[in-house]
Amino acid sequence: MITTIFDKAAPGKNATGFMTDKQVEGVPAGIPASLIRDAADSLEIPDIPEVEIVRHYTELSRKNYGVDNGIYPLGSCTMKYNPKINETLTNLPGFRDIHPLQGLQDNRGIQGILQLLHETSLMLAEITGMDAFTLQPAAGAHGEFTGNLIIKKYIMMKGLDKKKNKIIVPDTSHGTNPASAASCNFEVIEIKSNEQGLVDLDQLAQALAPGDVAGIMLTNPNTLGLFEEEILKVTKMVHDAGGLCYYDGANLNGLCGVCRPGDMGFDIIHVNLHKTFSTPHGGGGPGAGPVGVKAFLKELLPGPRTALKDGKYSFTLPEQAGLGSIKAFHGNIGVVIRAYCYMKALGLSGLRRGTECAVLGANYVKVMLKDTICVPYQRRCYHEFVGSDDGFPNHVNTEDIAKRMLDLGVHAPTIYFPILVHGAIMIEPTETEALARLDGLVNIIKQIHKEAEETPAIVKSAPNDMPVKRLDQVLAARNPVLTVKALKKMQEK
Amino acid sequence: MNVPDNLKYTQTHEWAKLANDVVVIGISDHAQHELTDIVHIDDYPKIGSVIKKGQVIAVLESVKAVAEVFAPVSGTLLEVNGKLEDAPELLNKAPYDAWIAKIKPSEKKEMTGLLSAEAYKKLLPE
Amino acid sequence: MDYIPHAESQIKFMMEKVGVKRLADLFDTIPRELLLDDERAKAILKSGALADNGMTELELKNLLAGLASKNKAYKSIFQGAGSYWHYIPAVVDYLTSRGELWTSYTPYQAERSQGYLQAIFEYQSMIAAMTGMNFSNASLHDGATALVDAIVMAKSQNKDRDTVVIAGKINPFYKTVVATALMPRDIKLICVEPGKLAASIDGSVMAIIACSPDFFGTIHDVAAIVQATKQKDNSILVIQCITEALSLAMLKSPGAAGVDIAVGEAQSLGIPMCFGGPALGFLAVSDSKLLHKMPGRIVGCTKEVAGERLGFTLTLSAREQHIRREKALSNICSNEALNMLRAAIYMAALGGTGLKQVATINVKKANYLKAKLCEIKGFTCINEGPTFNEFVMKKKDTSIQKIIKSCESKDILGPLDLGTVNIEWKGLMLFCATEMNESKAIDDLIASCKEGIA
Repeated sequence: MITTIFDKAAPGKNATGFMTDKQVEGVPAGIPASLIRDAADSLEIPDIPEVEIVRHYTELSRKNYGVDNGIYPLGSCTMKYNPKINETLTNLPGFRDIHPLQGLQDNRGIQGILQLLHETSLMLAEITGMDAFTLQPAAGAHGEFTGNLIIKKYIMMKGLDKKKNKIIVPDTSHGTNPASAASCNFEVIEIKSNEQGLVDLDQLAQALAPGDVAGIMLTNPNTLGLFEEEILKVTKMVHDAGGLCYYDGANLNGLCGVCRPGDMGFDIIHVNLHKTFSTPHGGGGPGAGPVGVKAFLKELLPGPRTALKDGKYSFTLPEQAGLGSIKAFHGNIGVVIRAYCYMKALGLSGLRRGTECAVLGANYVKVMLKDTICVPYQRRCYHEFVGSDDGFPNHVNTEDIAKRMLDLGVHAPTIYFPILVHGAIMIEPTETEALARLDGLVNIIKQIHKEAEETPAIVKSAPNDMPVKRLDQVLAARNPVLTVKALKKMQEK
Repeated sequence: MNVPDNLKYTQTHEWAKLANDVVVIGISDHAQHELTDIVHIDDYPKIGSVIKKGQVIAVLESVKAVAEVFAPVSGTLLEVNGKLEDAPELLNKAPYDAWIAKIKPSEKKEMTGLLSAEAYKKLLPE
Repeated sequence: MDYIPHAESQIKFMMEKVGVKRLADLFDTIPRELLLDDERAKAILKSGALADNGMTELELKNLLAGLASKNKAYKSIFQGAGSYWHYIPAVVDYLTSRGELWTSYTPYQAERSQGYLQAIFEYQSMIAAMTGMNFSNASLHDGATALVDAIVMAKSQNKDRDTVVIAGKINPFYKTVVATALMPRDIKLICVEPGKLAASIDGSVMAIIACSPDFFGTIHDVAAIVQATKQKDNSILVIQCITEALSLAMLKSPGAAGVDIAVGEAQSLGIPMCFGGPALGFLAVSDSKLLHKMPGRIVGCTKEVAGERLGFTLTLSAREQHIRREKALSNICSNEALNMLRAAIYMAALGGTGLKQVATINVKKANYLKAKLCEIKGFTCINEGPTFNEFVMKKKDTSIQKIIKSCESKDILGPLDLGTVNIEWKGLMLFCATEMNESKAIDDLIASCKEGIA
């Protein structure tokens, strides 16, 4: 039996009191009955007493796990510590309670936020080696979509959009890459990685030969945690073939402050503020995916632009001639503010230090697990590395290992991605995990290996100590029960 | 793997049967085995529309994967199997009974170009 | 400062195990010419925005407090236009600050995330209730991007059509987003008055977007729009776009009106304005065919494989980019989860009764303000039907800027000068009134409007 918040109902009780307003008590609503909810259309949300609301969500939180609980080695997600001061500062009334359209005409009353946004763009540009940024995209994938839109607009302006209709992605790319390209009406060409797990230059040359490639999307370090050592060659080849180079910044934590995508030949990039720049993941969001470009693409950036002149900050709404807008207002400003705080708190030397420790931590865990986990690609890994379940005894697979890790007190790493590695286990500790935490992770994985040898049943049946055991995903998809109403109906049967 | 002799097959693991001027299409036992539990089938072209050989006529979803069903022959789409909407698992339980689509072929000759059971068996892994 | 927990000795220990003498040696597969050594690193800091050194928490606090003080947090706000000033119950901030929730990520490991998954399931249930539809997803980025997603869904059901008709005044910021996002897809947008809808429908139309309440605040008869559309062509999808989610508590639901897809902005439900973001897009459908085309995460309830207990899990994942890749209808990965949680707690905190009451107060305050403004010589309300909490006033020969400046002196953010958003709307002002606008502020606003008479 599951009790939901709907079961805590007590009609006539809520958490704020029921509001009335003397000034308008006698004022008619003036809306005809046909446009108002009637009895057949009644709002089926219960009244719930405050104490029950607090207990309900407190109990839910205790059935959950965040970075605040312990190590969260989700590869490519960069689950680093979220500084609490950033929360306090973002919630200052001077940020929290400002309307997006105030100061629309004269920029008054918003000089502080405009300065913050302007400086954020400058900081991101310097860190990444790009020339201009838009802060409007709400997530990395939203940034990828923006980048593809820019590529599309660029080739349309050259009259080449019928000819150049393809985007190249490597077979290690994250699903958002091809999905973003496809939503801009590009055809996606996937090229196989070479034996070292890097972009295969012959495959690339073949894909570029017909002359119909508009661009390439790459992550560097790639999703195997490896640096694309021939990156300068790769971007040159794409440029020579008349294409643009897009950098997916999901793995920037492997290089931030140490080297820059702008110097590698990338024309358009996105960064993930909720990864590299420490803003909290929130259970899936909000994030932010600012997009940066080289100067020749500056006019194609969507969203409002900030400017500084004679000590005064201003912003202009997107002109129709530019790219327009990809979100209703300025962007996920609350997230941008937190990232601003982080960049100011660390400074460039702090960002570099963070990267060094992230890369050190990942290499340390990899070395300590060298006799336990098979790592198919043995080149230097950066902030993350990918292992495999190959060699785990008694048919214990990656899913079993991940579920057993939950029992042993940590969150599992990213699993089954990239698909290039069979049974992939992608581990990214981040720089904010103390040595004891790293050793803890190593020992847990070693223990699971031992269990797989000696008592495999306990691994295969994991998790055993969670609120539920493994759930029937097939049933969930075949008979979707997606609301409390549907659940009650199902339980009645 | 079950590979009935009385059916024709494609390289992309569909089966086809010509009966009374109608080509009935489904997916092979190998295909359903690879996909594992099928949870949804969708994205049919409109009934009555012209189908080209090789065109996608349905998309199958499992929990972890998606697979396209390709038309083995050209023609007109006559009917799709409504039972599969509520019971996609029939594709796993009885892949040769749970047909997916029926096409009125425009070129009956195309059937001869399909693989025989013997030829199809050779494509399958040991 | 930084947040790295290692002592120097621990770093040295790890370096030994890894086999490097200097930290710089870790980056040995990066071409030398790309590496920023200390000198080159400092040289990239040209603008002065980023310093080489960081700062202490106190220095950071002073810096941000200084910036915040240069923004005006008005005592009373009379603007909406897609971002609304509402009361946020104390429990919303309190509960969403629990670390197990806001420092977690997408609940990929269901067994370890039953808490958040259940919270999402309950949110889906509440949005289904608010919209009167059967299924909701777990959030999109905002109302504008949700509208784009709805149009893409409609296209998937009508692949050979290319026109979308918008009935009612659409939020101009949403219109720009839709035009931008659909640019590569060659989809035409036509805007019509709801009364002229039937005439605009031809064989190329794939969807009708009914904005209600619309950008000017007018509530339209969406059921009539649905009827007029389906009568002409049953395969056209009707999408209702709602920028003020609070209105759902009171007005006839999209589901009751027969709409195919309900989308919009739920920032009103417990999320601070924060200069426009992060926000919360919602999307709901009733038909199970459309369910399989819905973008974003969806949480379902299911049984254990080897037991009888019920649990929650992300489901219908074959719709999403990590499985469908270039065949996915949407590329969304990270969403607005924490805002979704805020909205769920907000709806729980007010309860059905509370939501209806707040909605009613909003309508009455706006009507009160409207009536008072109409008493001022030369002010007319141009809305042609009933309104929710926004409405548009027109005044001949008024300097709207004078009104706004007068409001400012009273610590009020006055109406939106619509001429700054669209030149065709010169001379029009968009007012919004919510439960937050106290009597005195309303009186002050009216006084400022009187002063605005040239």
